[in-house]
Amino acid sequence: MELKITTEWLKRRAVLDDNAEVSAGLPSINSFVDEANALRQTPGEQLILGEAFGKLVRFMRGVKRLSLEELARSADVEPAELENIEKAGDYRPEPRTVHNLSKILKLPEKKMLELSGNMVVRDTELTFQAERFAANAKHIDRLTSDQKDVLMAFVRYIAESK
Amino acid sequence: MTTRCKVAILHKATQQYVDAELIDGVTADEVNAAEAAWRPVLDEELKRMANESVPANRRPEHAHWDWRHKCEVTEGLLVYQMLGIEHDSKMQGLMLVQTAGVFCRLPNQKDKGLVYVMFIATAPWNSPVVVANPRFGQVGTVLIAAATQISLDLGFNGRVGLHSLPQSEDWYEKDMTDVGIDLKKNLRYFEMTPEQANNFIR
Repeated sequence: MELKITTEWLKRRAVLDDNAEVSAGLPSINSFVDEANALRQTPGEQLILGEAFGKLVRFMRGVKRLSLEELARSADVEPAELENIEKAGDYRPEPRTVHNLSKILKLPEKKMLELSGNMVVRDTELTFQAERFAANAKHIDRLTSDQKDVLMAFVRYIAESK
Repeated sequence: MTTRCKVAILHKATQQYVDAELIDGVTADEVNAAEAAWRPVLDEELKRMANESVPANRRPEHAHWDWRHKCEVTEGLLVYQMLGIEHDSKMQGLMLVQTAGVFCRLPNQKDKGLVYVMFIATAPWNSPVVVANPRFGQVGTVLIAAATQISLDLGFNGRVGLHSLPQSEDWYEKDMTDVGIDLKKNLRYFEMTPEQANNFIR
């Protein structure tokens, strides 16, 4: 991170900031602990969701007829990282990467964050749908029309999710 | 990955700005060292306040926070970032932010992504509710500027949200919008819009 503020900026703000108390945050961290712990899903669940995330990115790249390099460039992601996302179910991308991919692929960021292991999955239906999707997307380069239907149904499910 | 960049904070006794480092990705060891340095000062001041019968609303509201615990809970989770400001080999302030999965509440910004400041506090010797003469000023200002910068870097256009402790509300309402009391958390929630972010860091 490059912080652009200067000493001049601080001097201009000095009156506003004089003797300011700045503490912010929840008095009890129990809810936060639950939230953070919930992000640590079982390794099996993480793998299912991560695999579905990678296959979804790969599938949508195909739908949009983008090469790996083209999608990487548009989403400002290293091609090697994109390859990892698409192929390795246990790879957990950074939130920024998920944010950029969601934007380019026009998929809801919240669901993409959940699939990629960056947000708590509160919807058990998502895990079920993700498992079904990942199973049908194993050989993404040679899909039967039934498998394509299952994949498109998952994309619709994701796109329509709030 | 940890990155460090040079910032300045105000040495209040001399009214001179001194060099400090903004650490993005504070390590567990650094948090442990900060707690070890902060705790005795806090405990001593709390004891003094008890002896002097200082009313509860003038005692530090975050005195029970344990940053080691916050660090343990978030370790390895990419949506959380711990930042700190170091000067003279001592941590002068800490901030924990969540960078994904939190969305705006203001009606005109609703559902847009923001950086949520989960916890922020200065070292006890810099806090006006802990000591009569804080050592360094604008530590919190630099940390909130860092949260704004992260928001800009992530494409959230400077949107930042936080739940202020009552003693800090006056300060946050200078640069952020008061969204009102969050009944679930029993704290006032503030949000910085892109326009406010622009005014804040320009």
